[in-house]
Amino acid sequence: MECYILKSITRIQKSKIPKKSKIFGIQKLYNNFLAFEPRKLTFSRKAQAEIVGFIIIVIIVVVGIMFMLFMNKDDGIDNKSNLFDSQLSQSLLNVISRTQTSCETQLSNIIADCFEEKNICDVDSCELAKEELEKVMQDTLILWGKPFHLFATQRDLNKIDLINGECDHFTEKSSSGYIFISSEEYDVVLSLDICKN
Amino acid sequence: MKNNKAQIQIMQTVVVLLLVFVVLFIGFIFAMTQEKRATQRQLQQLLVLTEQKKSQSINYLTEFNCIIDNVIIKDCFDKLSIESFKVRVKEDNLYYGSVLGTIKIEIEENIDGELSRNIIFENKKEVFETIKQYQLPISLYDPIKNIKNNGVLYLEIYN
Repeated sequence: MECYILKSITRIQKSKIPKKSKIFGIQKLYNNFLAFEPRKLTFSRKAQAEIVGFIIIVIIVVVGIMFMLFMNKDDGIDNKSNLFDSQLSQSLLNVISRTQTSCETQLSNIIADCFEEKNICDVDSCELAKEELEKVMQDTLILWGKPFHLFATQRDLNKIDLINGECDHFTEKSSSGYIFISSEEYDVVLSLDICKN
Repeated sequence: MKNNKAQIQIMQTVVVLLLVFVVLFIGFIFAMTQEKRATQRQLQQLLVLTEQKKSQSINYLTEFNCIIDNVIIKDCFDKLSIESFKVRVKEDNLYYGSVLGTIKIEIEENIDGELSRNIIFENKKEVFETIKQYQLPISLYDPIKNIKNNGVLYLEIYN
């Protein structure tokens, strides 16, 4: 494009335009036009190159700053809570399975009876299991302010479901644990999810 | 005119050099910050691992564990063993101090809805930077009455 302009300018200079115009303004313009040297255009190219270089430097600096900002972001991994919470859910389930209730039987037996629709101590076993589980949770996870989801399932049947705080299947978990409770038909799975605060 | 041009060129060189040094300085600071962060992270991980090790060692100490029919039960502490451990610690605090480190072990027991706390080991540092507190649910087995109560193991680790 520049080449084409240069060629056309030199062509105009060589054409038969009168050397001096009678009108003053036009004459000055015409003289300036005659004094024009196409070689001087190399200076403007140099300026363009410098601008391009400057832009590249600016881009590099901006990219560098962005990189620094992203690298400085904290990864937010709390190893401490992860390690201890993973132990916590399984330990709590172990304790729950061994808990002795007012009916002289272990809580795990009551949970199994709940799925067999039996009554214990003249009380519905599911109601009793929920009550006892709430007691255990009250002294531990609820007291420590940890959101959790405790549920017992036998195949696809879910009969016990306790939730504290914002903790469901879609919430991010800090740890999960489960135990199997043997039952007459199918094993009952007692699961505990501890969610992130 | 030539002098002016030369001055401008020198100025240009100086500015470019200045910019280069500034960029290098920023890069150096950035690298140092990253290095510091990495070291801090490693240190924290090491600390967490040490604490985890301590908690594990306490959890599996044969001095506390419930053994029923020759089977060690996980997350279960024997109440009689705890009492005997307390007497032994009074006699030889040095050994357990080296095994468990600077730590306070406390057990909370829930007996028919009433909570009672019991310090079973305390090796407090006089000067410490941080205290980390952890709690772990446990079963407390009474071999005389043959009952298991729920309890919580509280650990205070001094660093």
